[in-house]
Amino acid sequence: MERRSKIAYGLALVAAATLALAGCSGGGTPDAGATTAAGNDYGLVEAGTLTVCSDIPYPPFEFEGGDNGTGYTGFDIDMLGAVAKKLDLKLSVQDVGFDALQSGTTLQSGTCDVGASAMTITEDRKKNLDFSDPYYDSLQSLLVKTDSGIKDINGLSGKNVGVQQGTTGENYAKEHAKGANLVQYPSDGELWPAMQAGQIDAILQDQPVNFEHEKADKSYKIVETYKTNESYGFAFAKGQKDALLKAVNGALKDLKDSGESKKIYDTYFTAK
Amino acid sequence: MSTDLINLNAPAIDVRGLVKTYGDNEVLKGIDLSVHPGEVVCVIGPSGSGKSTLLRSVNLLERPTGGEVLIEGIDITDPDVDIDRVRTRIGMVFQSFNLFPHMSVLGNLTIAQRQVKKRGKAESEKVAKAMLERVGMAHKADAYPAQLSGGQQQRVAIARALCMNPDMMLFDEPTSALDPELVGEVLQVMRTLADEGMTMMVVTHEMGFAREVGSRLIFMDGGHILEEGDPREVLANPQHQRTKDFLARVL
Amino acid sequence: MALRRTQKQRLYRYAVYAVLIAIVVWIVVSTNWAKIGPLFFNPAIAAKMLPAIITTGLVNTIWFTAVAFAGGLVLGVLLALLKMSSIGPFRWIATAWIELFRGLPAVLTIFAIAFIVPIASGVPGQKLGGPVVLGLIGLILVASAYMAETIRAGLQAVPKGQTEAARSLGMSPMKTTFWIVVPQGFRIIIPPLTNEFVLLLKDTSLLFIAGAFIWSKELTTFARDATTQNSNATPLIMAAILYLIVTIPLTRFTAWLERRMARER
Repeated sequence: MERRSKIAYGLALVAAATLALAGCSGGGTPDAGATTAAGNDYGLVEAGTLTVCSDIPYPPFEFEGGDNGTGYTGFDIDMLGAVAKKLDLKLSVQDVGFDALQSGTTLQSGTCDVGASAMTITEDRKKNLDFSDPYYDSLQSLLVKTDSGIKDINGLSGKNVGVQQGTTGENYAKEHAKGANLVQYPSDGELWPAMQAGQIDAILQDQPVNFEHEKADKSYKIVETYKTNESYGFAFAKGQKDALLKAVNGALKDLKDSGESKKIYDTYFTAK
Repeated sequence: MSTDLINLNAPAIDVRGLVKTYGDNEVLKGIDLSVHPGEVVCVIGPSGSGKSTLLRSVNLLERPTGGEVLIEGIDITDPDVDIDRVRTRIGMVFQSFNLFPHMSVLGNLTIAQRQVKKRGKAESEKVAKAMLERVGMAHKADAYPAQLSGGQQQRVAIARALCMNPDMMLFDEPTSALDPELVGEVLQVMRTLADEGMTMMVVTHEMGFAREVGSRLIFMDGGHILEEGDPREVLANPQHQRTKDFLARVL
Repeated sequence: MALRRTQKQRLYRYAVYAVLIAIVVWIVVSTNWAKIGPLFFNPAIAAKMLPAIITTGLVNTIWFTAVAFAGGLVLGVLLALLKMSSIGPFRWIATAWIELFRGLPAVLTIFAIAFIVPIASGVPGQKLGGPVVLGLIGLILVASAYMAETIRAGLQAVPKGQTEAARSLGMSPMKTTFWIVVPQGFRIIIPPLTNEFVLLLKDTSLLFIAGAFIWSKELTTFARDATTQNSNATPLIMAAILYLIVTIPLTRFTAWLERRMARER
């Protein structure tokens, strides 16, 4: 072959390959979702199923166990299980990291339809997430060693206070625990051992989680609870799940009116 | 401690029934040898005869399997002996020089003086420079071993051993690793040492040195001493067939 | 068409280029830049992160790496010497230590030192040094186990004749090791140790599990927190870039060192 035709041959190869592969790129966006067999277009990740993302475990909101077939249970899971039933959908649960979930990344990437992870509705989060109507009013509390002599948040001055990274509890402590040394941990899985190991003198986090610890170990007790005017909501990828969001809100209202959500609440938050 | 009592009437080196075995291989099969102060004993023989092993047993670089080695009357095979102390009385020169590459020539000569003999910096440097003069290397005191030729490095190695003021010197094939034109300068230093009365035990292939400088020649083969005597005698009139064969090949 | 060998090779090369170009074009075309831009490369948030992401995050990362490296080095030399010892129990302790801390994931070791040790011993963690100190101790233990093997190989690579010469001069085994073997051994192990430094730098990202004060956050924790606070992943991208700015020159330096050592042999 002469040189000129060799170059032409090579260029033709390049052009052909590029066009061929570019033509395949049409399906890049994750939002070309499936429609359900019933014909409604919630834009579900998996047809006929409500796929939930949650940072597990975080008892009593989400943890392993139960018998709903997903392998997980807890207040959040049970609530969405009831919602899914109302919408005639199956329930599936995915364990994901809290950071990526609450920043919107996980939901944007199309891993799941809705995030349920004891997530507080905040203005910052609303930038990247749409929230359902509130389904739980957030309460924080202070857990200390019973014989530590700490009676309230002011007694934390100069002491190590454990908080969970990126939570309402952390923000509350930053604002109100004057003089305290905040020590941040990834989750309650480290907060609780840290308390037992004497690394920290108190834990400021969601009341239900502290409550579990107080129940389990009498040498620790909750000395104060804090109303935060904040609530938990279920999270959706911003602007992409309007139909589903509306349907979920409708289901939540039904559950409230029928008293079913109060029944689920009592299962987890009322002292037995 | 027994190391402090030097028996001045005892031979410098006294080897009695020395046996050395590596696994199944008996390298030394019962060696008896005495070296008296001022003697220059040269050990020759084919490779595998055990001559290096014998030499290295004298300062316990090889631990004998059987028999005894006495240095100035002290049995160094005794486990209670302070071998580091005894070794300060024996200087050793290796075939591959073994100078410390991360130190200058002066550093090589002073490190053991300062760490073992506890001499101060000024004193050890004075001794070092004097020894370097003796071997003709005073001008290279600040050089590093990598910058020196083989002959120069070996002369520095000899000076390093001398800085510890030993009573005797062991040489393990000191010129075998040198280019032929560098052998002479090292042999010259060794000859000067011998003339000054140093007790020496030398494993070597240099028959000329053995004949002219040695006071006794030992021929070893197969782990035994086969012949020993005046170097001129042994070299001119070997008695054993194996000695004859070896000398025929080498001379 | 009968192609000569060189023609075939050239054609093959063009085909490979074509495929590579096509892949890049496809990635660029099918990426949703409008979505990725604000979520990962947001200038406003990037500006907010500076200078703290460097003055707290990166500085802490470098400090922690230096401390863990120094501690690991000292312990590593000790372990290497123990492993080479003629005394059986010394060797066994060293081997057990090295196998344990090399076999466990670093994050679990840090967790164990920060939480299990205080709980098991009954001494409160704050008395033992608090989260930062205990976390670093955990990292030091891990570093020492990895460095011990490298150091031992280096020390054993020093020619036997060096030890023989030193002992023949009357130097004790300890003096010989300190003055003659270790200085020479170190030249050999500098490239692999530099490599260990880079690995440690990345392992500091595991210290978060021991607990972090606001001032003690290293780069990864800082970035993750900022990502949570701002609901935006730009801090994570910034942290990634900062890590690369430190690690890539170090790995290039290691490669240069290795070439230089090879030449000098």
